[in-house]
Amino acid sequence: MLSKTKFSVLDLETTGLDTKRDEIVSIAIIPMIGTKILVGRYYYSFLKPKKINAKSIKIHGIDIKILKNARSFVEISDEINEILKDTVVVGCDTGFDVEILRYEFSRINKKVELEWIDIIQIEKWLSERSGVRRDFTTLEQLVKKYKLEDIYRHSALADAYQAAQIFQFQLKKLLRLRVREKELLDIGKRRQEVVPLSIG
Amino acid sequence: MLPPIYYLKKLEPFSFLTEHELDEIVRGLESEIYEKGSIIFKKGGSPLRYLYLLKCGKVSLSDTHEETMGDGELFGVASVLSGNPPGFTAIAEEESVCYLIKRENFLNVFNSNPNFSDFFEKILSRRLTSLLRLSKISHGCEELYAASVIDLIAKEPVVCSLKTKIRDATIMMNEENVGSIIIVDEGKPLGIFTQKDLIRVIAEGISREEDIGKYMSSPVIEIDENGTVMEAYLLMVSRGINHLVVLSNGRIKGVISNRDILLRLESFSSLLSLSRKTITLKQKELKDVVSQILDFIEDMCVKINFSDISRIASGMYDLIIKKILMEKEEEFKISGGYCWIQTGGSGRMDTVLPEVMSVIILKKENKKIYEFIDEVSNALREIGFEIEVKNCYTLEGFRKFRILGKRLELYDSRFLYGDKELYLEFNKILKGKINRAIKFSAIRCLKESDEKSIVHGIRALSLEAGAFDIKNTEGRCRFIGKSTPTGREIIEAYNVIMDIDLRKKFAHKPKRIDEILLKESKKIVSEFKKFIKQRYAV
Repeated sequence: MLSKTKFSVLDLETTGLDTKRDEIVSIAIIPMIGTKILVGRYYYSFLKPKKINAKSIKIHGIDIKILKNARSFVEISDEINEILKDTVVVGCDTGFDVEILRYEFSRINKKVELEWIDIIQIEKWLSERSGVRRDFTTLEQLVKKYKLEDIYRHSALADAYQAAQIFQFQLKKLLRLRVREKELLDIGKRRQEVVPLSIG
Repeated sequence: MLPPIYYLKKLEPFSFLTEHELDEIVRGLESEIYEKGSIIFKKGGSPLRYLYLLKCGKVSLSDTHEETMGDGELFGVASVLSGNPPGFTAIAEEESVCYLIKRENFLNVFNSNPNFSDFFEKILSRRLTSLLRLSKISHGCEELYAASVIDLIAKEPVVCSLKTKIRDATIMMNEENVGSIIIVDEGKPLGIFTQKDLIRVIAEGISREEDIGKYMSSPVIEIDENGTVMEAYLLMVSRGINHLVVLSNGRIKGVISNRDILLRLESFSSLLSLSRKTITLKQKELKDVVSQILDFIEDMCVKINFSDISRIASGMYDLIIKKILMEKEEEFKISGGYCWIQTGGSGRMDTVLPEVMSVIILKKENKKIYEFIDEVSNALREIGFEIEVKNCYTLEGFRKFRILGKRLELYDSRFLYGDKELYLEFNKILKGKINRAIKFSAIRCLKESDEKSIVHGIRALSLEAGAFDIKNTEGRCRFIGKSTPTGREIIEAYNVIMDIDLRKKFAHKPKRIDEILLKESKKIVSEFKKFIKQRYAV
């Protein structure tokens, strides 16, 4: 039942865009059950990358001292796995985040299977259904569309929360359209042109 | 870093919390979205496990009456605090997002932070005046904190001993022109005897040959000379007293009264000197006076309550009008034979800004004053008053009026200047139609809303009770006091509405607490209207 499905809204900050070579420097997860955001149960951690790339640190604005003293991925991998297990991962450009996460796990010889959906894809699907073709490609655009508060300092936690708020609205719409869980997974990944079974 | 924390930090009462307390709230925080028409919780259902904060959207609470919640408002407070089922049903009027705060986390913070808990208890107890005071105190009166009480002492203290006769003590008070005398023993204050005490002594028939020590108030409340004016003020307010003895190294240095504190506040004292000056100023300088009065009002509207401001402002305006009348009388060589009467809002002294002031003039037969009155109105208009001279009557002409009972603003009229005899006759005529005035006031009460409704309803009640000569709404309320079920509350609601309205006129940003106050006031007004409807069968 989609209204009782467990979600993990995920956002990462990384040293770069290479899923195979770059590393995670901070990770934020906000759990949801259906449309309810469990704000108080958020998870947020900095991670110490093996290679600290000065250029990408500057982009995120993270203090190098914090990273140097942070735990490594190995140390938190169990916690992360526990949280994400049996949930559907939600995010903005989730594909990339899940990819890099999978790689981090594989580096420590752990295999994880993650179901995931992307709020950008969901938004595309929803706007097509309402007859409006609008190209949303970034979180900022979605934040504007849903009239959320402008946060001037971005962090994985703030971005994850904004993604959660957006997904809350989207999921409400999807529930009204009687979309089912399997259909949601397809919509969220854009595997194919999807028409929900319940719509005549 | 979490957006909800930024949001809460700016919202009362969460803005009162420490970082640690805010973390506690966030630990128990969830966010849920409700679609239009959905029921959030039902009246009489299970006791709430969450306190609800409407983040965006619209929620209605229905019980016997309906209330709408807007952004930033909390609901479910009573149920969460008491553990009882909710007393109303909450429905989302449009798609709404609510923050849900777990009961346990909320209660933890409620029990540890007194400012936080005060906020809720005040809402629940419907004490508008305390809410209003809370909103004013948060604006602060910086002058009160910066000055020490020693600055307030203007004279040497007037002292006497325990054995001093009351008669001699009052002679000293009179000679030194003070409101109180301190009874000391070797420089140490033992008690205080004030004008109030003197009144009591006379009323109870106590002989003035008695020792003052028997009738003084003791112990006397003291403050060190280095204490701030604010501390002195708070001491007076909390003890309900008007005088404090100032000590220096345990010895009496002087006495301060609440009036000394008021004089300290710049706006107050400068307005006082302004009013003294007004008598001597020329007409063209009076325009400046009006703009200074407006500055004062704007300054004070966040610090003191509406009825005080309106009394002060009306007093100043009266002075100015009288001054112009006197000047023009000389020019036109008019002496007597007419009187100038303020009606409506300015008659009630309920207006604060020199907006349209309705005036009527009574004159003796054959008195030619139209040009004179015209000139006076023009002069006042130039100064910044909006004077509307509604009519100029002779008493005979006035007597012929058939719809007198409907001219309700006349029942709010106040003599300002001129021949008082004419005014007294005028009143007699009005009293003749008083029953119609009461009835029409009741009808208007039901037709109007908010403060207008209160004014009309209170007039009906006070005319019925025989308080013909009291024109001010608050004064009337106090007169009828206990005879109405909503007595004290209605005057609180009135002050709240007028206060918020005044601040709006000065384009002050409305505060969150204003919405709560306004809501409570409207509830009171609607109960009041029901009461009037029943009582006068309209």
